[in-house]
Amino acid sequence: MRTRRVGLAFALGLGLAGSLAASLPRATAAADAEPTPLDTTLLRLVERVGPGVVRVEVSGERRLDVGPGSDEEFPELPEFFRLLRRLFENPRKGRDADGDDIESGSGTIIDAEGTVLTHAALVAFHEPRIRIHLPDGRQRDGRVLGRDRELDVAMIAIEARAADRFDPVPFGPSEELTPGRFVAAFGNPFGLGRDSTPSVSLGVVTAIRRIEAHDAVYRRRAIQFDAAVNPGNHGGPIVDRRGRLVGVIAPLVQSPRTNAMIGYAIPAHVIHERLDDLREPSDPASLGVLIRPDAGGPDGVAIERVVPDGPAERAGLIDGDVIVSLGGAPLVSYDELVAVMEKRVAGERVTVVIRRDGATRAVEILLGIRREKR
Amino acid sequence: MQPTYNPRVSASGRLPLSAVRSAVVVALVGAFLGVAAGSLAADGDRAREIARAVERRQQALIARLEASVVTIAVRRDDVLPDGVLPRQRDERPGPVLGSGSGVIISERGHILTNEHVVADAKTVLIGLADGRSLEARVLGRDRTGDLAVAKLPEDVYAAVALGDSDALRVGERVLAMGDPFGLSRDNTPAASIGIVSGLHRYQGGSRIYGDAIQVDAALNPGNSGGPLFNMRGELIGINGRISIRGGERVNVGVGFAVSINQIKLVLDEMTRGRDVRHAFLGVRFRLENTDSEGGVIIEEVLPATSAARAGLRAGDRVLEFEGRMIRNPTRFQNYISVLPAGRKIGLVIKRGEELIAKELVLGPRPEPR
Repeated sequence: MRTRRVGLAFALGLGLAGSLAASLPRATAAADAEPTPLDTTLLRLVERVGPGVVRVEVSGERRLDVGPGSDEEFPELPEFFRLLRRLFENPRKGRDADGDDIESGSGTIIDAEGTVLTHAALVAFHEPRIRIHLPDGRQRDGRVLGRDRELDVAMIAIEARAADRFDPVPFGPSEELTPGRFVAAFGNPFGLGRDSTPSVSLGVVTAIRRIEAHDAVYRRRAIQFDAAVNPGNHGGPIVDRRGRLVGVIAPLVQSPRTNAMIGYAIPAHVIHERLDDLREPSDPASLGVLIRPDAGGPDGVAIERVVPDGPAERAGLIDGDVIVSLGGAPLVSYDELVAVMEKRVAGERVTVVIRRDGATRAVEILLGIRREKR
Repeated sequence: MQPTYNPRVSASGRLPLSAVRSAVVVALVGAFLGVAAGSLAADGDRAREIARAVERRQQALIARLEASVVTIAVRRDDVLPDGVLPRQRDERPGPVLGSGSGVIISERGHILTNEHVVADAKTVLIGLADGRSLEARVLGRDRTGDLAVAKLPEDVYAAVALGDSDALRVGERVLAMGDPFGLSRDNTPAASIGIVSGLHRYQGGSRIYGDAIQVDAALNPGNSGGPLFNMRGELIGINGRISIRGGERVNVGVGFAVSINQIKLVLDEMTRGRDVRHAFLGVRFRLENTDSEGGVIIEEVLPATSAARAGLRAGDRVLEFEGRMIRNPTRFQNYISVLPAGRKIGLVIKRGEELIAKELVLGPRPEPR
């Protein structure tokens, strides 16, 4: 098909004439002309998945009230800020002209209506303003439908226009993945696709395992893979060789000094089980306690103050109680408490073990709704 | 600052080359078997056969191209701007301070490399894969486009064929060759294989990669100036830049090559011993269009530029460049930024409801500093 090789070089008029015949063994060149089944598979995969990968740009005020008892103002605000910033650390962020936080990541269209699946950290904003950039250049507003605090994924609805058509990426059997399976990662690393065409990188599944690194804890097993992913890829898909969604890329958790080619993704089949829940908005949960950021210790996390008539007070907790564990997870620091609470939703019942005057006891708390405030 | 030379890497000397090669082959065959095993589960022999064919083709390709890939040593050192792959620093005693890679593109010994590899050097030391070390004269440079041509002494050399980078597709496999970390002591290059991750990437800076090929093949310091090939062994780009994270200039799977079709625009001039100036249109436009009409809207026309002389005005919407629809502002940037000065271009603009065709000759881009 592309036999123009020689013609092209000569057409340059560079006085390079005759350079080619000697350097290209004819037999090899002829055999090289046909694409291998591997090449055909890759090209087909990119054609199929590419149109369904979007750039997600989120701006607004980063949520500052993910703490377990933020119904009232904290005295230690700067510290509080610092912790929260670290919790949602992602290098692909900045500020827009209005001084608002802005973050750019990726997402996957999963149905014909234009529903986008992404990572929850990307939309962790107070009233996020979401702009969806489609690979064909279209830009649409988006709104968060729901978040799954345990899986760390979020669902966004595209505000579609009447003539809009979308190219969804189908879900694949991610439960069948084993190390060595071929995956391609899509998204917008370093915000490169300014024209919104996603980047693609190729690799294999390197492990399926539970991950605990830095602030990211996936209690369920995640997919570890070696296709290149970088800041801005998070929220985007990894797909199998047939172009089916098998995972949602998580923010990087590796040390910045390593170049480990280690990416993590949340398995698609686990997300698929919860799609209906994800479409429903869920309220962030409140425990109704105020806690100092340095309150943690080997014995637990001490409560500074119980909010009057809040969930904790209704369950009988008082100022000075020490939270030993929540929902079975032992807690030794404020950070851990924040992380655990972030995965809970209002209306849930959790068992909290507390220590008071040297004695421990378990109480059940009905989590309240956390007021989102400026 | 130059990156420090990693003694553990350098200690492995000659070994990494073959190690890198087998790693590449094993990784790809592994990936491929994944492909084949699923779709051809009923026919394991057929799967193995295909995998072997892929592997053999890769081996043959690398073996065939090796003689055309060179190392380039330079006797001076300077500070490089962010994002550009630095020349690998060599801490061995002696006059050689930096090194990179290059590729022979004519039987007479013309070598294509990055401008940032040769910098201001008049001559560079070329290491051929057959073990010879020869001095080459630097003929011409394209500083903005980060390209340079050097010439070996008259002889007959193994040259590569130039491909057509416009025919590239995202997902296509590509082969990068060169001398990462200056590891090669016998001048034989290392190879890495990946895919085209993206096309038409614009990466600005003092050197502009205006219409770059993005790849996930491993590129590291020392790969600068080395060739990017398609799987037919045609030269489709010159590797020269990587995205970095955390300050370390090492591979993160996001590398950039100057496309061969961009190089073709300036190759003749560099080969004739002239330095290339890039074109400058002289308009400012928004990088994002908020409406769906397409094209780019000019926000400002800079005085005494080609755009001003051609009568372009703020508010004009540029719809076409050389008969090609401008799909988005980045594409327009791709088109303009790679052109050499003196080029005549045709634009179609929309002013109010009127469509106007303009022909203009582009002046030179103001040189930084």
